[in-house]
Amino acid sequence: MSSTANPVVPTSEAAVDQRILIERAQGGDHDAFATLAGESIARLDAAARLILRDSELARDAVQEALVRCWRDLPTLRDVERFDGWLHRLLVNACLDLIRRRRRRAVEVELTSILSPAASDFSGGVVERDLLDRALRALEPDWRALVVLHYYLGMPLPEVAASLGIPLGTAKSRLHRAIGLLRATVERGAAVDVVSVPEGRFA
Amino acid sequence: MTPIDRFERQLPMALTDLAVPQTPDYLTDILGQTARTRQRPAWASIERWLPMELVSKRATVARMPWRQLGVLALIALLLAAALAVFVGSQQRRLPPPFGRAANGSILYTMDGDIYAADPRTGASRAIVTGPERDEEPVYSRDGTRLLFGRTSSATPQRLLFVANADGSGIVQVTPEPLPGISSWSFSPDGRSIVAFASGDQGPIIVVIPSDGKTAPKAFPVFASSADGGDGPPMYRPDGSEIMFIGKDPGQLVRGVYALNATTGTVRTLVAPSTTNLDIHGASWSPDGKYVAYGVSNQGPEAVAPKTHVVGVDGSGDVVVDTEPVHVADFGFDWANDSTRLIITRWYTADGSNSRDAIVPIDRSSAGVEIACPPGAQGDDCTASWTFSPDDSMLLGSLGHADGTTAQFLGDPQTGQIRAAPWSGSGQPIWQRLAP
Repeated sequence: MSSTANPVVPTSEAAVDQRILIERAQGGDHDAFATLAGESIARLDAAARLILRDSELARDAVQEALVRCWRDLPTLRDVERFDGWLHRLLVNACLDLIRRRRRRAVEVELTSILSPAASDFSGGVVERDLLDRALRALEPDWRALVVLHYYLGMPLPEVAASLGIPLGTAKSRLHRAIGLLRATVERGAAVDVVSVPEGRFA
Repeated sequence: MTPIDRFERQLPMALTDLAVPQTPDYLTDILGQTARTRQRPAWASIERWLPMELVSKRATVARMPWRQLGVLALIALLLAAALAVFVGSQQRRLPPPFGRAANGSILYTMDGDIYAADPRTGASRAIVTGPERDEEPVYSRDGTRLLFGRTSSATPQRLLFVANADGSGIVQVTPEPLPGISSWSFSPDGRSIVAFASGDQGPIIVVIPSDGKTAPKAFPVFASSADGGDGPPMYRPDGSEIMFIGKDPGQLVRGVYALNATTGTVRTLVAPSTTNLDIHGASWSPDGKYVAYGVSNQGPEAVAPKTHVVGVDGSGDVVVDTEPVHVADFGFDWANDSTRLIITRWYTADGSNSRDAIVPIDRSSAGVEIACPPGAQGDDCTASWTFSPDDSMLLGSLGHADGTTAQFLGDPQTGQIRAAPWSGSGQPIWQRLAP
């Protein structure tokens, strides 16, 4: 095995632009905040729906996160941590909602708010449905862990801090969550194969 | 490769596909609400302004008493010369890179700066400060230098820096940002740094000279991510190889491998299972005689990870924890004398009831459970623990939702713990000194 050259990545201009917007919003510029919110709301809404499995609850969580973001933004000392901070506000809002509604049935079929035709996942609709089932089988805290790390791309130390758990626990839970997801998908795939008439594979 | 094999790598795209991200129609409503909401004043966070005040103080200019200063300078020069003669006559003692050593300072981060705490007095002092965000510092094995990541508004991606243990002499060691760089540590001799970075096909191992003058080398091995419990790349105590967890193309599950960074060759330490038994995380014992690693069942049946210890020659593979009630365990932090491991026991299948424990690798007892740290959530009493360099104490940390980390000191004989008199963020690390 041979060594290879070290890849070089240029500095992101977008990060500088975002920093300017954040600093303006910290000074009370609501238009700057509206731009920041507009750039992030699709991502926040999708993450909240993945964690909460309910579009109305997701709307509540995103609203709570963005209102808190605007209110507390002047106290954010390190503007480079804006995205991580906003994701932390969102996941806290999601988990607060779950805790408040723990006794109510909030598990709603995610497929009811999605268009099946929208899928272009290489595995196709069957894999997406399997993943949907597997994700739904996880506890909300574990879903949040998976969504923060694999969907929002947060480094695991930040995920651990967001969820208020030790890094080691976050690692072990993520490992177990992936194992459970994989096992559920595998079980689902096996059931689907068995269900094909006359032993033919779909 | 089946869809199941692709599962983890495709998960980000699959989640995007599942969530169908699109701009919702309620943004206007939210902006209406925020427009009616008053912002908290910046001074509501007092700590925000403390560093500004400190750094903005101007030195008072007064009339200089030149004669007295001259005398003092002469005395200082004489003392410095005497000190230089004394120091020169003493050979500096350094700890061995592995095994027991004396306890030095404890390194931690807070608000993007690096602090060193004296565990005897509890006093802390900032040793690396500035507008940049410095994080995840680690000491070299001889305790003389530290390595940390740095981001700034000009360089949002991490660069690595090396400094003397007191924070002086900072040298940039990655000439350009390495995408996804994480899990860094020094080689035993301190001349190199090993870390993970992101490659086109997954994590790669990078070896970076610590002098800041030589270009890093990248090894596109088939390492699996450090996330999910796989642990960082780790030098063998003799410095000859770097251990990593990986999934060899064509294998269904992971194995433990060793990379020779001089030749680029890879050898198998623990072969991947031919069944569903998957491997996660691995750690050399400090004496270099054993490897601790985790095994779980990735089949459709129940997943029950357990920690194994095996000789480096592949002999004597055992499940290390003999406690009979717990259902799963994780953990690979060794005592410096290589006789014990810190593991996390799960008493329920979801980890909601869990405890950390110190277990002997000779399986002579069920070990000692560590007390539940204040601030733990429910029955999940796990924190991140390591041994002090002399093995007489434990150093623990527990992250909170506000980004701070409570830190603890513990007794490995009794499992009793107490709060450390400092707090910060990130994982604390203990400096090794000459015994």
